[in-house]
Amino acid sequence: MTMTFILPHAVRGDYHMESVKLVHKFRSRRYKEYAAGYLFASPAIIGFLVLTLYPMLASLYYSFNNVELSGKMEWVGFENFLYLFRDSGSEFGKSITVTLVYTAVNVILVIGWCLAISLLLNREYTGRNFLRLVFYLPSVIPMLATSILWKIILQNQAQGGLLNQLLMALGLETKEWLMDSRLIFVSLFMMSLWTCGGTIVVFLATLQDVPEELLESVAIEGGNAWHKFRAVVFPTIEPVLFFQALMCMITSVQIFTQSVALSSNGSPDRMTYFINVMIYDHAFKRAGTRGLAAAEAWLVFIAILAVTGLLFLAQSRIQSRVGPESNHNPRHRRKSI
Amino acid sequence: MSKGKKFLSVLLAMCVLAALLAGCGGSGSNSGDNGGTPAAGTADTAEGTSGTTADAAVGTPEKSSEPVELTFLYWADGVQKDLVTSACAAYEQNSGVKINAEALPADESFETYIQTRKESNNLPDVSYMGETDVMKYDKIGILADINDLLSSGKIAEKLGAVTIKNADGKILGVGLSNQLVLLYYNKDMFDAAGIPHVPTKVENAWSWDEFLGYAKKLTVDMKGKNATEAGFDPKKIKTYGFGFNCLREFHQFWAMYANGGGVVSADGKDFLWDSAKSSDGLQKLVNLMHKDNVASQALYTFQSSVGSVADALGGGGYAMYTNGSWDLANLPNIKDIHVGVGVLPKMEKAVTMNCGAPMVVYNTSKNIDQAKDFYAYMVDPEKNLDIIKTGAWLPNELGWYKDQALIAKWTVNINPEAVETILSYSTVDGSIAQWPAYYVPAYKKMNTEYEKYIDKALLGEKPVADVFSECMPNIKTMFESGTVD
Repeated sequence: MTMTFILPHAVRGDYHMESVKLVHKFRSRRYKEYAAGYLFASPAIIGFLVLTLYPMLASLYYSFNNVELSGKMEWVGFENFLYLFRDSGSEFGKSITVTLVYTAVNVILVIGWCLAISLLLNREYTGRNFLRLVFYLPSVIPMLATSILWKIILQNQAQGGLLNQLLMALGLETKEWLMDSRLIFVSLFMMSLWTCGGTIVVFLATLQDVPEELLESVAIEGGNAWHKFRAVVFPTIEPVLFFQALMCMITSVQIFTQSVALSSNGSPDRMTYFINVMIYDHAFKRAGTRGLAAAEAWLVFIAILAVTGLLFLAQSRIQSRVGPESNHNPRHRRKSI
Repeated sequence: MSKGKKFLSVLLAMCVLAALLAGCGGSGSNSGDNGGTPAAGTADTAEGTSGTTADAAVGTPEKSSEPVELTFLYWADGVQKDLVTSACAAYEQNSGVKINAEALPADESFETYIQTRKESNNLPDVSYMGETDVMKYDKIGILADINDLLSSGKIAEKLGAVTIKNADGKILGVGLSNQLVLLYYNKDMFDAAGIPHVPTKVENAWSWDEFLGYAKKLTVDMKGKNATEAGFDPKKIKTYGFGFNCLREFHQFWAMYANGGGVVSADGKDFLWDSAKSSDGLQKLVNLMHKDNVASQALYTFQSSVGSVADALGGGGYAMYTNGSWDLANLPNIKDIHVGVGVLPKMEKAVTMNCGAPMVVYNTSKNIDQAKDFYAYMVDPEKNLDIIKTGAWLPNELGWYKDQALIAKWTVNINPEAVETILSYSTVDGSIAQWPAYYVPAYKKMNTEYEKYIDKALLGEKPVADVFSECMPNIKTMFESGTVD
């Protein structure tokens, strides 16, 4: 900040020097504040550089090399990437396929399920708070413990599997929930839906933003619950729906713990040989395939980045058609919260 | 900016830097150089496809005034963990060397852990090692040469079945124990069904048809009908006549050898895996699950395991069950039922398969003499009698199966039928097929390739022969390469 005054000529020179000193003083203060800001942010910056950026760049370099278990590296250019797409021994295609199928179905199931449950939990009735707890609690359990728990439930009835024992008690046929190459996905989806309490809470919070007067006006005009949902509720929660779907997609693509807890090698028939499991297998379990693992990881990163970018683009185009303020509604706090 | 803020921001930045440096630094423990570089002494190079093995301690190490500590990594669950801990404590008392023993779960994560330790230059002094991994690490050059222990007599000659050799015949490691695949069964179920107990002599082993008939009688559905009766519902089975611990590697390979096929011939020269007899042998096991409906589904993963014999038989879900002999240690814990042990059924012949993880010494150890001494101690059946008496380990020297005095020593607490079965297998020629991991350099990569395809056969989706025709040409090429990678 500079300060200037209109003064007689004789005095002006002195004050000019003073104002220059003030300018320097304030600029120096600004730089000191910048420096302080960077210093406070330095832990995060250093952490990002050392623990994220450096490993990413190192991984990129590895992807163009054959990396042996001894650490010796041999430059091979794009050979690792070409192997993934061309070689008959590569399981990249199968791994990507099972990952994408799981992701696509899981996102639809999770978003649909969480939306339905949150709409039900948004109503007023006795025991609602207890139900909210019931749906949320499983999401705080570590995924490994969840996987082991579900394994106990889903294993064969002779091994003590609870679900099959229940089916037998009801006179129904038993299933190989963990060993059948089709039913394994059903088991994974059950696990996923059981642990999506966090998403339910987010939707529940968003539903508080739905303006009550608009719901009333729909009711006055003779609309039913579906009309209310379509005309008022959905447009209100749509941005949050999109964001949660995006987050669900990213976490679904990265599925790992459930697979290794249930089978460790992608069984049955590589149906749980998801992309992260394959990367882990190549990086840490097999010899001489670390470069391949790095190539796989980078391909997945680029793919997720591309898909995320496309989704944001699509969403912004929809938003621009609808209007930027269309979802801004005054808060209406319900007594239920 | 105030002096306080400046000080705080500088302090924060220094703390982060210090934390990063501490995290990236070495641990200062036993390992010295990176993998492949001997710590000291003369390097002994082995020729051939196995690459180099460096001996780091031919010379006399410097004596340190500080007490020696060795890091020992092993895997064990339950009873075995307690026993190994006791063995280490006994060694500490006698030698004055401190053993820092770390136990990991008995699953596939062990090798991953070793790799992580190697990357951080923090390999233990001594560890267990998977049978399929020894040749790989030997090629990298981080294993110490133990042949001096054998040539000096510090380690007695071990059973050929548990001795791992490279392509040149050089011994890379010896197994702690000679484990066998055995048939465990619920005697009470057998008695209730009027079925004779499983034979304990190889020459009396059931034929496959006999075994199948008994398994069907013991497989019972919810309505109480067994698999031989009309109206039996295979979709509502309450008790299976038979169960596999899992169908991975030696848990299924025994059937190929029993049927007259195999994986690789005992001399390591002939590839048998693609033979019709091998695929037929495995098909018989698959049929138990999908055609005969007497066994629950198992796959080529340890995670498909039904658990220990206590879980499988004690829970009432299975009448018979195959697992390694290490499960003998858990038999005394089963209170409610009477458990028997016998020989596996024969196809063309009565055969079981062995396994038994070796121990290895790492040439990065800073106390290599002491590490080798501990190694010799752990592989000596006399020193580990307490573990062997439980059945968790079996002796790894031939004399312990033939000398009556020695037999009496280690069998005193073991299920008598199990003893008969083990001694019968050990004394009848050709009844124990050695797991090819011990002597085929390319085994690990062959097995990795096999793993990609075999579940389709085990799930009953394709005949074993069809799956073999898809994967065996490639696997055979790997075998013929004779190389580890």
